[in-house]
Amino acid sequence: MAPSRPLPQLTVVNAPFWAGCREHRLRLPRCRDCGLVWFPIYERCTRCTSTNLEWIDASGRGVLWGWIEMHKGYIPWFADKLPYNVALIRLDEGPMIYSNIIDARFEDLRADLPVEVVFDDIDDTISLPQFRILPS
Amino acid sequence: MAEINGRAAVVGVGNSDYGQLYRSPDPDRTAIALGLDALKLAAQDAGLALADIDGLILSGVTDTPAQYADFAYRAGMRTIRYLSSNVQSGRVAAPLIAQAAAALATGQANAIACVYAATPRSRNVKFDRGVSELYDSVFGLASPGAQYAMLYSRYLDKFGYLGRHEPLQAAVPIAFRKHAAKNPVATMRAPMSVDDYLAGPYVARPLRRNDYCLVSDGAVCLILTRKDRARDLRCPPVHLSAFANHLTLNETYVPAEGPGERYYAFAQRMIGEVKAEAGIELADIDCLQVYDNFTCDVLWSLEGAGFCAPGEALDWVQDGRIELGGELPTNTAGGMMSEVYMMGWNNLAEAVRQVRGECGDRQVADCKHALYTCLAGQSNMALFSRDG
Repeated sequence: MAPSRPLPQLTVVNAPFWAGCREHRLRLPRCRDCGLVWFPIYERCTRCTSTNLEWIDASGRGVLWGWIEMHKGYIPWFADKLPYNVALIRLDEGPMIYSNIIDARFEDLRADLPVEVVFDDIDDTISLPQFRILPS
Repeated sequence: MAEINGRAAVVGVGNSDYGQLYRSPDPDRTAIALGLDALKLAAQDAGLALADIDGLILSGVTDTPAQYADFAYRAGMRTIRYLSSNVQSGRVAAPLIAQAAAALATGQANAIACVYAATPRSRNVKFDRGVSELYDSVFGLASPGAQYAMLYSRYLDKFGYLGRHEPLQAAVPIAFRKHAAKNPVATMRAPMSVDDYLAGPYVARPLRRNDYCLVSDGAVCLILTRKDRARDLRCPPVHLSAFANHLTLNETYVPAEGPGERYYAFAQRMIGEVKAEAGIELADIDCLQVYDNFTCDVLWSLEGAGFCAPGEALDWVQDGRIELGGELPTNTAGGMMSEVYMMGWNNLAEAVRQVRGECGDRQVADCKHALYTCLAGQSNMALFSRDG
């Protein structure tokens, strides 16, 4: 049997994020009290603990903070896709997010390259945020 | 810490034969049994009876921290004055030694055994999980090494090493392997050449398999007593003369403000505290025992402690500088890459033994001060020193 693809576990707390991705919008929680925008998704502001949050449409832009080229198939679904990259993106709104850089070789990846979100509709409900390098 | 440092001493060290355990994985092996063996060896080393030990600090050892009594009872303990049972995690090794010192200095116990024991190799534990809220596995991110490698690529690029970091970074695992050859209980003792290093595949590029620590079964026990009690025991007491700790909390597993950036500031703060508390300069440090989970953390520890400037470590480690006989002998027993992965406890044990002067072929001449550093998610530094 083919290994199943790891998928995000949808919860009441993270549902707005994944619903946004489905509409190809990168939506993030912002604190109405202190203004922090945070990720990963928690139900409270991770700076002031307020539960008074709103969902904003993020710019979808950021910079490439760190990256790897994965050569070991720890996760069975990825084992026949080696090597592939995984990236850490610093979004313009502040938070860090893990993702992948599409259409890029390891040699193309450099610190602080500007990147922009694109969405990959992988099944009937989930669209994954991915990033592409913006032309300089 | 000033009230505590120098008031407690490590008086006993015991550990498994790591190589023997590595060569004979056994699903029936238990961490408790390995821990009991290490405790017994450490008590013999100290010249203490088990009944003299009235404090116990555990990391790992039992399946959950709540099961500490399974270990203590089987160790012959019937009454304990001081107890602390903790998760199995590398970053807590030095903090638990500092905790023991604090407990002793404040009269909460007379002698405390600190025990780490685990059997991940025999149980085939995979270090392949991340932080689920970050959807790591959704994007194919797995293993702590991959998360460090992600910051290492940034470091290499920022400091102009990307693309020429190999074979420079091979100098780190090669040095530790040389040291392991002089350690009878080390796991990996065969020499490693640059070609051997490069023949190891990438795991998470830019890190190769040979940049990763081992996965090991084994146990380490360090016994501490109050300084005034330490003098009558079998071995020369080794004092915890300074300790500093730092934890940066953010959204990722490792400090994302990392290499060359925020990690440097907190490492500098910690080494400043160590130097002030112990009244020493960097030049007084005779050897370094560094938490070598991955090659990049060794480089960052060297820079963070100030042995070289930010961005210089890859050049600085060349030409035997971190080898025995070099300027700063580092991981003189082989470290977690070649001796054993005891989550820092093996590095701490080696620091104590070097200060005692009992390391034979791998002894650093006239070793008065051994520095332990760990620049992982929770970072810490501890200085071990002898009298005078």
